[in-house]
Amino acid sequence: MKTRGIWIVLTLVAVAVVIFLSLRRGGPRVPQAYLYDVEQYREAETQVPLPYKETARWPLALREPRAVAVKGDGPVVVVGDRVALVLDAAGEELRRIELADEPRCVAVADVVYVGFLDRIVAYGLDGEKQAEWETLGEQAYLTGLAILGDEVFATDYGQRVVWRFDAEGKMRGRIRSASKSDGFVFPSPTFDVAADGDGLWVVNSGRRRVEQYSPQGKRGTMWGRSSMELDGFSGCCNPTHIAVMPDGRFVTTEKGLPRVKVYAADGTFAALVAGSVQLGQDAGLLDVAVDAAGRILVLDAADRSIRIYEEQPDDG
Amino acid sequence: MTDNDQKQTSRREMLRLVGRVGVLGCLASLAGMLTGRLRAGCIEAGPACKGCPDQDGCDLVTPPTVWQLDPAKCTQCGQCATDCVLAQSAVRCFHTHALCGHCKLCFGYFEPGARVLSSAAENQLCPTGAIQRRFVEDPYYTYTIEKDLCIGCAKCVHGCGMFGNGSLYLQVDHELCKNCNECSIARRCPANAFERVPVSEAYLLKGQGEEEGH
Repeated sequence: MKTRGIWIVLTLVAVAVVIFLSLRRGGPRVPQAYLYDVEQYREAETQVPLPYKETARWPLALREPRAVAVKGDGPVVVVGDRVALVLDAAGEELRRIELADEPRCVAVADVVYVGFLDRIVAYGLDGEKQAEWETLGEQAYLTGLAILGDEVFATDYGQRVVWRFDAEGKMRGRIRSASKSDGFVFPSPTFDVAADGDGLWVVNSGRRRVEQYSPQGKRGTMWGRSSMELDGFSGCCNPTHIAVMPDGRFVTTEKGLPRVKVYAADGTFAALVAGSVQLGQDAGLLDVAVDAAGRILVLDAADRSIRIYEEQPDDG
Repeated sequence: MTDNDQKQTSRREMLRLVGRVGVLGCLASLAGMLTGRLRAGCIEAGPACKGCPDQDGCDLVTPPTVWQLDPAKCTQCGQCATDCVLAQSAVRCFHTHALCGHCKLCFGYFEPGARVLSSAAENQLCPTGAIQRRFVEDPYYTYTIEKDLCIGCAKCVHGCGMFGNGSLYLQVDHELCKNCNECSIARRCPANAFERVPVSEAYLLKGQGEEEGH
């Protein structure tokens, strides 16, 4: 009887050891030193107030949406695949313009300017093709468009210049790097431009800053700093996109740690609109536009939707 | 002749018969192989076979395959460094220079939040210091992987893919891999990123047609 008890105890011990070893093997075994850790920076996003709220999300029937633009309080235009979708202010589709090629960027005023890899094509808001501008060459790689007065500006990642056109597509000049030692740096095709009464705001993403230029190409002020902190820009090439708000503030978007942020007119950090918690870690490039009411329209290519953010009244 | 003698004779005859059948079988197999080889026009059938344009119709040999890691599926979990049967994993970091942004602030090289962009050990992301950083011209740098130091932890791959162009990625290095029937990394890979590929296409490199290397 005594021998039988010993055998039972030994069996139980053996089973316990096997279970312990198998559980231990199934658990995390990769040393912390091998893991890439940016959790503290994600955590920092949760420590700040979010004065903007996502008030709507417009799903897009596009496989690969690329860019968004808005005309004041008028229509919103989204390009992707080989179409341009003209939407009303509530996101309802008004028109679908078939395109001959893959669009890269878009701007809209009374005319819809669609940027392809090496050229710009102008369409009326009714969908009629108005003009196809001359090709910018084999090296061209257009990534951004902006309208300032009666001129159109296009950022060309391939040739590291900002092209200047009149409304008919006649080239009026180009903006090059301000200097070789402190000029444009683009490790990846993240070269955007926005415009307001102060001129052009060009994203110099490799230097993680925004630079002001006159239409003639004279560089003015610049803002932005390289930092993993919330008020700076991190990664190889951020911000990726920019838009100007009606009151002169800026909205920027970033990749890596996906973020949408608002900066004051002097370039100081004002607010986090949405971070990686809201957008998801797998969000791709996020184009952005702002309408006349100050609504921020973020094109979430991974989610194939437009997220609408509106500033919430301050309870205090 | 006794019964015992009869039994011994029978056993001898039986062995002789088995021997004849064996020899005939071997000859038949050899003839079949030669016929098939001639039919396929193949002169390299066997372990050295690297596949050929006619391999679809080849019933002689299955082209040899090896383990490889699909960079598009890899989630940089770090297990390639710990789960290989070799003391230093056969999975190593590869770099497609044509995709690299040559960034001064490289997230595959520097710890996130590094205060100074220097090659001091405390700023480097790689736990073994396997990435060499060399100045090209301001603000561009070039990065190369020291193969012997790399342990395949994918820490740099994660940083580069998240914040940069994704020019760093993991591959099974076939100069090191033992090509186990059951790869211990593949068995535990949470992304099912390992697959058998023909030895003629042993690497799944980013930027096809561009210069690759460590």
